Formats: sequence, C-alpha cells, structure tokens
Amino acid sequence: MQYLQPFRFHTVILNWNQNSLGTQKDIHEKLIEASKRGDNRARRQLYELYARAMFNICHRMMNNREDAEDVLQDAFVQAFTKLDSFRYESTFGAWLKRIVINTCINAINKRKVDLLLTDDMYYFSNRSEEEEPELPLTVKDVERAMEQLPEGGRLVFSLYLLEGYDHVEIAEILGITESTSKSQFMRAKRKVYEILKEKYYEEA
Amino acid sequence: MKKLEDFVRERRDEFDSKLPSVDLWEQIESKLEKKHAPKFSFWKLSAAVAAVLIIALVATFYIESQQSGIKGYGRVADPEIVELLETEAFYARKVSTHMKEIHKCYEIYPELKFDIESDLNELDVMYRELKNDLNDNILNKEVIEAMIQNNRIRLEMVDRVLNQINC
Repeated sequence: MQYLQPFRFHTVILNWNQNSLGTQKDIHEKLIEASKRGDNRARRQLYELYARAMFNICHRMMNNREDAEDVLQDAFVQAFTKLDSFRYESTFGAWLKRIVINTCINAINKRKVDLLLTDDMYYFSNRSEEEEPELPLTVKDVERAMEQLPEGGRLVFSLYLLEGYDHVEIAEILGITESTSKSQFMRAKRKVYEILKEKYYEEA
Repeated sequence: MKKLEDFVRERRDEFDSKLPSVDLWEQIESKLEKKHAPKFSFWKLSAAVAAVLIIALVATFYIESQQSGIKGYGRVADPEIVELLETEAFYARKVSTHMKEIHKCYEIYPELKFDIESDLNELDVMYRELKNDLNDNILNKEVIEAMIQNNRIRLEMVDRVLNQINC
C-alpha cells in the first residue's frame, strides 16, 4: 500500500499540467521512455503513479468494483502496448485518461445498457437553480447519489465535473451532441440534488 | 445547485478514495508478457534456425573434405574438380604402366633415363604450379584445361618413346 503514497502529490501536478497542456515536458519522461523499451520496473512505477486516479475514473464510469478492475487492467495493457504512439503532445496522464475512458465506454457498450442520452433541454429550462435550499454536503453522500444516476447521466456528470472535460469534449467522447451533453449534465445534477435532499429530510 | 458543483471541485481529491486490488499489477504484467511472447519466441526460433544451418554447413564441408581425401582439393566439391581428379588418376595409371615398360629398356638405352625423367620432372613442376593456381581460385577453367593437357602430354610422350624403342 505504501507505493500509493506519492500519488496525492502527483494528482495536483497532473491537474496543473492539464491546464497548461503541452507547455512542459512530462515529469515522468524517464519512466515513460524506459517503459517504451519494455522495462518492467518502470512500467510498474508508472502504473503505481496512475493506478489510483484511473481506478476511480473506472469506478465512477462502470459503477461497480469488479467491472472497474477489469477495465483498468485492459486500459493499462493497451496503454503499455501502444506506448510508442505517445509523443508528449499532451501529458501522459491526459493520454492515459483517454485510453481509460474509451475502454470504459467500450465495456459499457458491450454490457448493452442503453446510454439514455436524449436531447430534452426543456425539462430544466424553466426552473431556477437559486430556489433550491442549501444542503450540508459530504463527499460520501455525493458519491452515493452519483451511483444512483442512470448510466448516461452518470457518465456525463463524472466526465464534466470530476474528469474535467468540457461539453465539446464529452460530446466527442460519447458520440453525442454538445447540447445533449449539457442537458444530461443538468438533469444528472438535479437528480443528485434530489437524492441528497431526500436523504437529508429522511434523516432529519 | 451551483453549490454542488463548487463543492465537488473544491474537494476533488477526496473523490479518488477507492483503491484497486493489490494484485492487479501482476495480472497486467502477465497479460503484457503474453502479448510479447510471440515476439520473443520468434527471436528464439530464428536463433535456433541459424544454429541448425551453421551446424549443417560445417558438417557438409567436413564430410566432403573427408570423402575427397586428397590434399589440396579437400574443400572443393566442384564437379569439374572431381572430373579432373578422375582424369589425373586415369593418366597416372597409364603413364606408370608405360614407364614400367620403358624401365626395362634403360639398360639398352641408358641416355633414355635422363631424357625422359628430366622431361617428366619438368612437367611435374608445371603441374604443381597449376595446382597452386587452382587452389588460389584464379581462372579455374583454364587451369583445369592446362592440367588435363599436361597429363595428356605426359602420356603422349611416354607413348612415343615406347613406340620408338623396341626392346
């Protein structure tokens, strides 16, 4: 478990790097180059650096631990197999993240669950956000509420709010329109809020 | 509602609380090894093929040199050389039987011994030179022809001598 320690520090760097995409060489260039040559120790180190963040992405997208681990495995095998095609055009983290997300989406499509992505914006357009009462929020409650979202909404919600993609990128990733992505996000957000509210009043 | 978005963004790190199984890397590693296995065995296979080829080649040369047995031609399996060796043997046999007849006449014609043996010696010296040329692999066709010619002259010479003398 100790090998996961440097990770938190790394997440910060990773996020910062993504904001200034491509402006500096990847901090793990040596590890990446060694991994390209097939160095197993370097590969393991890279895995350990990114496994936790990538696993949490998988978990949010697949919505269960077992599928998340299967997809994470596949994604890392793919990434190491085609590592030669990584040419520092983005950070390694961003490159890996796309592989992980695409692997998740393929797995979800194989599960043959409808993504339930529709274009109905009207549902939210006449409601004001400011009317909602303020709720005490916890990470655990939000996570649990996300787990209860329908598949499509869950994907858009986590891609937008947690993985940091904008709606144009999400539209491209999921093969939907930008407006569908936006409306799905609004719908998912409202649903999360409703679940939280329900729980809050149940407990009160 | 804005509050929910802000909350998630502010506490983003805490949303990465789940950990994958500890043995997940081992599974990835074994899958990667499987993917690389055919590449690895391809190298092994080509190394094995190369080794077999080298052994076969060495064995072939060794066996051939053993079979030819004659020094100076040992490593050559050329059919022209084989033919030359046969021709050489043929003429040598003929010349030596003729020489046996001539030896009998040495007593009657003592000057013959010197003449014929110096001629044969000269031909021998030439023949040895030709053999060296053959080993050096220079213009082998011409060399072989010259060697056969040399053998023929030798036989013609002893033939003529044998016909002239009558004892």
